[in-house]
Amino acid sequence: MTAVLQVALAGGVTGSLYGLLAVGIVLIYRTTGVLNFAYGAIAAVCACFMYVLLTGPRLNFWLALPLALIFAVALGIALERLFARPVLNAPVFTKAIATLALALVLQTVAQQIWPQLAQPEHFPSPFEGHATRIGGLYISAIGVTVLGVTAVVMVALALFLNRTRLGIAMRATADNQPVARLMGVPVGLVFPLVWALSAVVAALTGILFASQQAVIDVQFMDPLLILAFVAAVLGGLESLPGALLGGLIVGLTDSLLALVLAGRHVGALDVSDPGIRAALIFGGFVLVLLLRPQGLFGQAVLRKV
Amino acid sequence: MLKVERVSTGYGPLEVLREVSLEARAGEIVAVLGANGAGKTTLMRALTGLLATRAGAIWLDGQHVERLAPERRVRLGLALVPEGRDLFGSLTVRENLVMGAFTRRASAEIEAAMARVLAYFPRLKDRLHAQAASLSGGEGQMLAIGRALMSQPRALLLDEPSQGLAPIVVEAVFDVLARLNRDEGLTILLVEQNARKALGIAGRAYVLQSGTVALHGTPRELADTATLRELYLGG
Repeated sequence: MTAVLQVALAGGVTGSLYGLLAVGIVLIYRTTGVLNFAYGAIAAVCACFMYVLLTGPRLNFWLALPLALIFAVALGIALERLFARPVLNAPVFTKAIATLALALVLQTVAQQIWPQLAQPEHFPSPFEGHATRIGGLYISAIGVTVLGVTAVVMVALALFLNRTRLGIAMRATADNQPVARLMGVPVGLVFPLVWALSAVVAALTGILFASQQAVIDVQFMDPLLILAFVAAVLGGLESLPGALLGGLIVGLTDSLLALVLAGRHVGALDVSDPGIRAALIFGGFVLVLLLRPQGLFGQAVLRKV
Repeated sequence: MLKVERVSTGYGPLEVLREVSLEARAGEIVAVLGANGAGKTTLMRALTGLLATRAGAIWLDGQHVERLAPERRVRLGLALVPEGRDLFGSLTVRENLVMGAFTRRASAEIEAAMARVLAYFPRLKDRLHAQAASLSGGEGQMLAIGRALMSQPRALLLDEPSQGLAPIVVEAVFDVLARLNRDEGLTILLVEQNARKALGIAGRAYVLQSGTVALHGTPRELADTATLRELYLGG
């Protein structure tokens, strides 16, 4: 029983990371119609910037963090202006493909500026080596932090989007952009805001993930991104809680599969291999989409963006 | 109040409006009539700034607005009730109203505007926390008008307010428009296919035909012209 709880906890932590990324993806998609495959690269670049602050001028972690988040805001605004705005009225598919190119550009530029990050490097964090035991459960400091940050981000986003004038304006813009303009919403300001906000979520996720692994390189977010997309689509690409829930489902499934398959063989095939787990998750994902094309929590198959 | 001077515009190679001139003076209700494709909605898009004009001028209270972005025109006192209502379906009724007052900052002012809107449309009071998408056609039209009123406009534009509504609801909607005009002196410019209804409350009317003003005058003058009778009043 403890083993199952321990695995579920691990799954909840990884699932929260998938979920946070998925939330950022849905935020951009719903408001600007960009299916952002560069989102992992954005998270990675922000985390790399944090790494450089920690190892170059040897800043304190808690001093480097706000600087990294400010960097994320600037990056988000710059990407909206230089990338998203010029392709604003292109079809959804064109924009999605363009983000693949953007991901490559971001990674290449980051590698040029910080050549040391082409290889995995040690990412120092105050969470390293700290853990506690509650009952029979082993709980790492970074695990608790991931769960806490996820909860705070979700509550903050919900309050912002539902209670503030600007948040409601963002949802209105997502709902019907021309009419939002007619209400006097400066859509030209709302879009950079969305990109900045989602870049901050990306930066937080990247920094959390780097702290959890204690290792970072330019491409370290790539494996997370694919599963975050699975999570976002499971959530129906519509709702932020749906995206988080999708992330948790993917994370828990992955952990529980690891537990069930550990040390097992089917013929000569070692099914405890992570690749097999990934294959099973994607297989399950395809099955879910066949049965419910709108995702687990989505309401409509298509929506006007 | 609102003056359109020889405005031309269109989409791509298609010229939809050709040198259209019309005017709504302060406190007037003006109707713009026309068949499908006459350019009524295009005129609304040009007035609100969703579509750029190619030639001509638009004046609001003596100020040139034809080059201003839609949000600037809202701030100057122009509000549109769009065709087909165009609510924010995923937002609540209350949030739709709050969005209507986006250009107003003081929350006391917004609360006052909301109280005034709810006084005109008491039925919305019970539905404040319902999703706008769940409203009936009539409630939706009331919300669309209420949302436009939230910005405290000096001139209210309406694009086909009677579209898709039951006759009794149309009656109620036009009744509120007449009251807004009478009690508050609100200037109203409405575009309608339902000519009989529109002429019932308008002080003056224009008839658009293939993107140009074919006729204009008081409802009485227009009702006497054979063209209007044949085309829009069903003989």
